[in-house]
Amino acid sequence: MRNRRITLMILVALTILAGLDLRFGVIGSAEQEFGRLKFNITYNDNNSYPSHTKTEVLTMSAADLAELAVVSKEGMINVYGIDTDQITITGKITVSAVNQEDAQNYAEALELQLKQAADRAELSLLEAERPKAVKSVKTSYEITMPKHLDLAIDAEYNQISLADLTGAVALSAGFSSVQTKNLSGSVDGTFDFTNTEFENFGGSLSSEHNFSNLVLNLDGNSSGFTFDVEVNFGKLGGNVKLDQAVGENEFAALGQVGDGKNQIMIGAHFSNVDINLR
Amino acid sequence: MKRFLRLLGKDLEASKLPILFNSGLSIVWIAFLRYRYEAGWSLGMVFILMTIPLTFLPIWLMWQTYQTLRTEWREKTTYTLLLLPIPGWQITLSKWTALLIEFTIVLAALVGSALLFFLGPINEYYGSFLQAVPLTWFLRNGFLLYLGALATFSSFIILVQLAFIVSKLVGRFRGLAALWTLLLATWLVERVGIILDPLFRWLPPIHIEQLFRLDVIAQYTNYTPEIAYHYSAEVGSWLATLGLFLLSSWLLENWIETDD
Repeated sequence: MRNRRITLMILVALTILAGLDLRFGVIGSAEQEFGRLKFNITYNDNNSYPSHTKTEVLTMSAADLAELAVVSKEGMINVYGIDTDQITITGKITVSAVNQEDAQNYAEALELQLKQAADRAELSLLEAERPKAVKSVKTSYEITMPKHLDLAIDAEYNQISLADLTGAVALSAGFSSVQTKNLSGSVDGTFDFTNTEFENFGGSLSSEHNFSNLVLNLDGNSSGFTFDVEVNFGKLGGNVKLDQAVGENEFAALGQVGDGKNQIMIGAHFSNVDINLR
Repeated sequence: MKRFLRLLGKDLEASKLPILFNSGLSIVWIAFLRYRYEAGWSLGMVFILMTIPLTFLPIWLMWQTYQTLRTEWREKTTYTLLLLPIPGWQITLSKWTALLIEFTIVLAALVGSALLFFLGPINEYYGSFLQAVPLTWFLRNGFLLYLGALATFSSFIILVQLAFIVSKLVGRFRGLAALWTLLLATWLVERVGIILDPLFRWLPPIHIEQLFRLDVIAQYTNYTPEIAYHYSAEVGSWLATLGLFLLSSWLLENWIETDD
């Protein structure tokens, strides 16, 4: 009889504790702690076909420009903001083909195009129908531009690096990796299967992430940030304390640091988000 | 050790019929699918249907866990069992081991018959892939997945054992009490994991791509995957599950009432 009474008392006590925990989240969220998987998929530039690289240097005055747009299907994009009134692009076109001659002929026939329309310049690769002997065409852009100029990038299968920009940045990236440093303007981005890392970020961010990881390291010297973060089927971490509402496989987090001047709006689906204030 | 092996032998004897029944059913099911494949069903659909026994297997194992203990009461062997100089943990451990052996045999029958009956179609459709990827890779990863399944079922078995034993300590509504205990134990294990999580944060992550040798597949693509699994919260849950195993063994040995 005594055993029964003690067993029942323990069961009742545990039930009350479990009820309180499930209702008020006393012990924390299981979704946050269990099964933390971090994905990183690196693209290897290691095809074994003979290749040929052609280098082009393009320049354009940025005096009449408000935005530079870059379109790339495969390769690398490095952009640096400096004190200048000119855009300088060193572009490398690397063609891989079944033999060296095909690679060289096709690479020499290709051209980079920097076209201006109104106050917008667009950089892209002019390519007609690709011969069957050609296995891949990759572009590598080293771009220096005025730091205040707006930038738009539409890229797939790219390694993207941006540094020291104060203008607005629009990013659309798929199957890529993105690293930025010292951005202080606004960033509007869509990232699919793309790992993104912002280092020393001091601006506003509005981004959507699908099957992608985001690490956002904020500039501690910035006046402040307002956060509106939604994560579905992923993890939300970092050292910034946010008010979290936990739903079924979903976190919604709001918060403010400092004067809250810069808006951080993140939507992440099947993606992990880390937000840190340095 | 001898006592434990005798206990295990007794439990395996009791599992003989379910093992034969489930293994036989799995083989008949695979043979039926092979017959339907010859009659025109697509290989993809046949492969999906092959997994049906795998979905029933966990439910069956949970039921079997409950049944192995229930049988002791139904056949009134509990009193004899508890009178013998055997510690409680050996009784629960032998049942746990017998169930995992049962799972292993049924799984082996299912996988073995699938390979036997479908070797031809697999070679026909995936021959080039199988030539590129060494057999050892499949064996290694299959074994790792099997170990993962064993670990998962082990936890289930321990929780169901606890639920049954606690239900025997309650006077009425024992089925309901077992279900209640199972839910509470699941919650408890999860929460202990969360509470103890900071203690195990120092543990290095498991690199899934290294464990499963994903580079063998990745070499045929332009991508290198890196998947780091941080399991600090799970360590606390595993410890809690072990604690519940010891608790149910202790309850069985010291607290349980053998008369129903």
